[in-house]
Amino acid sequence: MRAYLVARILLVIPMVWILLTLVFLLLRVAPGDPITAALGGQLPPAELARRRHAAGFDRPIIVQYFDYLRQVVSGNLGKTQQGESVTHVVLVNGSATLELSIFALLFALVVGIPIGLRCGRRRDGAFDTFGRLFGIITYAAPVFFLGLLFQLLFTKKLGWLPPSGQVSSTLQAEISDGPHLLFFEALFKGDMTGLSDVVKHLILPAVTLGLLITGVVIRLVRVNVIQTLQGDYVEAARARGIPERRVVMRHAFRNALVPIVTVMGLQAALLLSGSVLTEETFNWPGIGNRLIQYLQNRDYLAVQGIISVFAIVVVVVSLLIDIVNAILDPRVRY
Amino acid sequence: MTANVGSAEVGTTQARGGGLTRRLIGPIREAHGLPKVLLWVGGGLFAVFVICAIFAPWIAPYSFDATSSGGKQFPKYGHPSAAHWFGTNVTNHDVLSIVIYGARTALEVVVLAVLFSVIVGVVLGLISGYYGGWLDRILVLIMDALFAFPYLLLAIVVAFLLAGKVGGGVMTAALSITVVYVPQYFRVVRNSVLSAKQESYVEAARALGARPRTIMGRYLFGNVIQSVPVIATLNAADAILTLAGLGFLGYGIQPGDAAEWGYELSRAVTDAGAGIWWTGLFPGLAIVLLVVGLTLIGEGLNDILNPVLRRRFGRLVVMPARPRSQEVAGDVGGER
Repeated sequence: MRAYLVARILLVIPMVWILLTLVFLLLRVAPGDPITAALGGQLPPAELARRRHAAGFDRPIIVQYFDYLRQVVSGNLGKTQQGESVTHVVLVNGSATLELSIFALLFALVVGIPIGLRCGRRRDGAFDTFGRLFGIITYAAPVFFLGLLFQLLFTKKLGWLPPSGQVSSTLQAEISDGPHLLFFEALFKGDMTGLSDVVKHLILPAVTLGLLITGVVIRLVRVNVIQTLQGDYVEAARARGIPERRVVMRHAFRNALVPIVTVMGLQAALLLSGSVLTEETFNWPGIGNRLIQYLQNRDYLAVQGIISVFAIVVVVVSLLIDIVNAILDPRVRY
Repeated sequence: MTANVGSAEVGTTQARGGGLTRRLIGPIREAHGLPKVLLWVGGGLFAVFVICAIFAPWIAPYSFDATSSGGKQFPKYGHPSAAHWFGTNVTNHDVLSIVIYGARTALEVVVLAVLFSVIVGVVLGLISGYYGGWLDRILVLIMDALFAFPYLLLAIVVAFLLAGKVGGGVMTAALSITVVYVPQYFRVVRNSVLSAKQESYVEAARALGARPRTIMGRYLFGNVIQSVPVIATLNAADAILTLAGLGFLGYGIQPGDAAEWGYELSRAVTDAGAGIWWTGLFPGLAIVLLVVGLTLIGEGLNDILNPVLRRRFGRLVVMPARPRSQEVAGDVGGER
């Protein structure tokens, strides 16, 4: 186990390096230097040259490349055009995204696993067809369209839930001034008014993003349950007279879970993509929301910093998934 | 010698051509039950959009960028009515016309994107799998990195970079989406090449002095191309969503150039606050229906072509147990 873990953790280094190199090539080499690309034509050439020099963009590209790697490793992602530290932006707005993703994932698992299990048990039955259709439709509906429909129904028509944002502006300062993990902060402070406000704001975005993943969960659980139910050991368990319910839950479901963990890890990328769209729809103050702003301002350094963080997140999630897998399934370790 | 190789090639090509078509079409004709229903429903939905796309100027009541007709100005945020079945939007455009012309944009972009990614992915996969070595390793690393990356962000970044150089048209959107899907074809093709190149007929071709290009084009291509149709249909569905996502975030087609559903939805989010539902509902439904259609085709094809899931006459095709599944059984037995 230890040898496997060490080997797996060491593999993170080349993976991160490749992704960072790719980010650098895409965002730094392709468009030329960021200052000219963003502000060319708006400032006199002398001023442009001065700013280029100040930011170090007039040095050889290879030097800039190593500078970039060193900065990322040391946790310094540079500054935005407004002089904000990108690392700070990532921490503050990233935690809002984290909060949204946690609840979306929770929703997807709580709803998706039971449905998928039932679909897989009675393959091609009425419920299975319903489950498959549900999966296809939640996949086919873009998150921003679902979000829009929810806003129309629950905000405009029924007036139950707020349309956007993470918290009412009057309560924002009361709960937190730092990272936007408002749900947990309000919970730990025991601030019930704040908590209920935060939850009301959280429901629509989390369900919208969650539905995107639910389809994937149903599909996965279904296919894996079908496959494990065909196993010889399931037949053997049935032959020993073990009740069908127990056969499914103990024998088939446990084994069906292992591949699900792996593929759910791959969904981290889907979750990140989906969260950008969800945040934009619900004006959620997350990292995706900021990224879109920086893209519109052509703020290359901020974009590069945020994309680098996304790359690292993807690699780290895949590492965590592999570790969980190694714990669940002894065969992986060898 | 040369003549020999030539005649051998001709023979194989014919056999391959016939075999490939039969292998693809045969199971589809034999399809029964659910897969057949999936294919028909999906195909029907898809056909409606194809017709809309091709005949948009004749079907749509107005042009997608018209704000008046016969000297009469369209209303702003007009309710759905006899003149405007789906209402009008903030810029006085007819929503029905936008939805119909949007099908044209979506299909143009998706056909280009899927075509590009199939070509690039298959060619790179063939080369990488056949030659192996350093080239292979580097390509695999790059493709894995691209595959792991959040797809929409990849598309946004590429669209962002291309918008400055190529402009914000159909081509930019198609290229940004291409980058997302190349790794999938690359992986599938490379893996099949790795196993196919061990076969004796490939060895025989090499022994006869066939050039690498010939071997890849004539002997490997036919073997590795079979899994592409299923991936391509499912990717097409996904590409529609990616295009809509790009449009929603403002990185798709420029509004003046063509009608695009995602961009319409991005404006509809503001409208929703005022209780205006028709500007968002109809473009959104168009996306959902088109994606559902393509997904159903993909699922149907998958059910039919994938032997593990295939059933005939309602009976599951039982695959012979592999040694590995016995191992699994042994493990579990031991644990109990």
